[in-house]
Amino acid sequence: MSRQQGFSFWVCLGLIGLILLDLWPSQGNAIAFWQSEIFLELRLPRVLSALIGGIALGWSGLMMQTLFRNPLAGPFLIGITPGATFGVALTTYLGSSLGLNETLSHIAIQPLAALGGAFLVLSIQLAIHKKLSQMHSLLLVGLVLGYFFGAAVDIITQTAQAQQVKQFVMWGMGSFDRVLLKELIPLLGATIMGGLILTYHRHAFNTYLLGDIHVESAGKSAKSLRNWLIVGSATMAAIVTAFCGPISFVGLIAPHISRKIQGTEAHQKNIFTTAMAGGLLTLAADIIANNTLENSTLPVNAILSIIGAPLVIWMLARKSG
Amino acid sequence: MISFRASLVFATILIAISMLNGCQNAREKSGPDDIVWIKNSHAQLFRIGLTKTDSFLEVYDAPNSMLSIGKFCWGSSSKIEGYQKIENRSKIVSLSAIHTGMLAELGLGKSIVGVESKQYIAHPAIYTSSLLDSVQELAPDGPIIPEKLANLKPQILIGYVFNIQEKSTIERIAKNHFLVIWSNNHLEPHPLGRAEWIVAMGWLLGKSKESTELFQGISKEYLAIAKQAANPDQGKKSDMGSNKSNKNNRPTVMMNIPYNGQWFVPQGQSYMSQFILDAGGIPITLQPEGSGSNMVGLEKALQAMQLADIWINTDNCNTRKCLTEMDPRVLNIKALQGNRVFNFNKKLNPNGSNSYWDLGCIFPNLVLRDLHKIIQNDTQSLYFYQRCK
Repeated sequence: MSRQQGFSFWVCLGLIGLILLDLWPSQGNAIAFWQSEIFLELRLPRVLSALIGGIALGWSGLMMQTLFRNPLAGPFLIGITPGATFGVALTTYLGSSLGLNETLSHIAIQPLAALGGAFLVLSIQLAIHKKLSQMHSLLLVGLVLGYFFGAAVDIITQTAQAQQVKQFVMWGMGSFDRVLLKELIPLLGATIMGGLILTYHRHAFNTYLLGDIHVESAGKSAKSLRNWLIVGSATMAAIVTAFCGPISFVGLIAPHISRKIQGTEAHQKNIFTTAMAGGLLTLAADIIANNTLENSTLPVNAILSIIGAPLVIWMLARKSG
Repeated sequence: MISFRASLVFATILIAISMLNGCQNAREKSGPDDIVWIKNSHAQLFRIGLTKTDSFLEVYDAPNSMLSIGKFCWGSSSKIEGYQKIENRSKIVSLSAIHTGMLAELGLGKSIVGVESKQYIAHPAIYTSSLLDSVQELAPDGPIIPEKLANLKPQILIGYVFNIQEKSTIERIAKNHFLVIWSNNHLEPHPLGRAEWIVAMGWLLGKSKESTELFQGISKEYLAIAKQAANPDQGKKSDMGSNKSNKNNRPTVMMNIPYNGQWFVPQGQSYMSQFILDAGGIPITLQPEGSGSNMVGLEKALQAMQLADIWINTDNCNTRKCLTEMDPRVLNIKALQGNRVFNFNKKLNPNGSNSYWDLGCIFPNLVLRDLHKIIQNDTQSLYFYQRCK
């Protein structure tokens, strides 16, 4: 077994361990708990959404880093999550004002609005990236877009009713608790779609990392590859954001963990381990969120930010060094 | 040898301890030597004191806190060290619906010149009168508009601290122009404590006798209902029947609704838990101590609440359909299946204001009466509550 295979094996084992740990009852008989409605309707969807959400965000990050040929790209830092958040804020506010059905709004309209916001940000980033291709400009534009959409969300919440603000604030904390079993279908659908795009174009994406000239000389269209990367990364990030709230840093960190394990940027090697690393991060955050305090649940987003922020600073320091 | 830095840390700790000790004494020993403090029945965030010549009001930031957020006096003395003297009180700005309601209840509605937003005013003495037209809105859609407040030139502003920036803005405008009384009465853990603030308002605004009598009447009825609820066999025979679901034969009561997978579950010593205990029910809480609430995920919340007999305070959800649309997993809750879900929306005005939020605080006896009836399964003629259809 090679070093890479060894690491992959341990990540897999860790992921299975975390799944079991997250599914384990906090008290009482495990068999009885696994047969209860609480398990089937609440625990199972929560653990599955954390797992699928982590995989989707990991892949979304991998695709964005490929798209911008920049290891610091991730849904949160480049502004996709704030864009999706803006879409959700808009529908939360307009939903009840227009008398939209809550279930319809939750299952269809919010994800579509999040998707719209995500595509908008990604288009702006791409347009600017053509002119400013330095690594840090991507983050700066992401920061500026984050501020812009943050301000737009502030204006929306200022005019919203107290209930809508409450809904939106709770959504913003990020949680896998709110996901219903049936909502796993679109979540899983978007993740499978992203996974298929990554797997199908894995060799072409490797060439894309070398530059557009290499893609064209290999007889492929760089524009078409870019479109696939945009569709895949934005869809996965937006759907996870719509259903679970803004989940930060997973998309940025998971591909890095994977590359560290695999020792290569080759997509065929990183698809599986990025998914494992993403799932590992979100499941760990979910376990911490639900088990740190006996009578409270911590916000998943806060936990991931506490883990993620120092890691990003470390990565930036390493890159500049 | 102890380093300079260590000595500095040690000295800082000593100073902090002595300051804390000083604050502790401050609540007991402040004011003139001959001051007599009136004992409150339940309120913890204010106290009223008297001397032969003056009256005093001290306001605190939280229950059991030593930190005074306002010291006021009025009477014949020209100046008393450490206290702000109240002289004029005919133009009042009230930034909370509860205080507006209290002023109206004391017949001081005409003194109100400005409010936070008219859409929160529900007290019938203002809502249904021409007073509503003459009152200025100072924060109709968000933060307070400083120029509007300055132009209004009030003599007293009463409000609660909800935003530290806004607090400092108001205090800046108020400096040398009008008095600001911050009242965190929403932090009073006992319903009668919150209602007792009408006594403070009455003393402050020259209606001490009326306010004391009013509160005594409220308190008397509240305590009578609580006594009856505690000993149901001594009073009218209850009809709880099959709804008795625990060993104490008291129904369990759950509160609030989930927001995006998160549920705020009141703690055991909170305002609402106290209401339920006094009404003869058992509040479902996750933490017996504490007067706040626990934010928990749906799984933890539903594990605790699934067998609740009664569900109250469903916020903006007035129908069972709305509740299940919000999260279909609440369908398994016993109270929902047994059609025992109640919301406090019976006194909703066309402008969206709800009397529960002001009258309910001033008259907790009415809320307790409703809750006692709900627990007794006698849901006729409820005042604030109605069954979710």
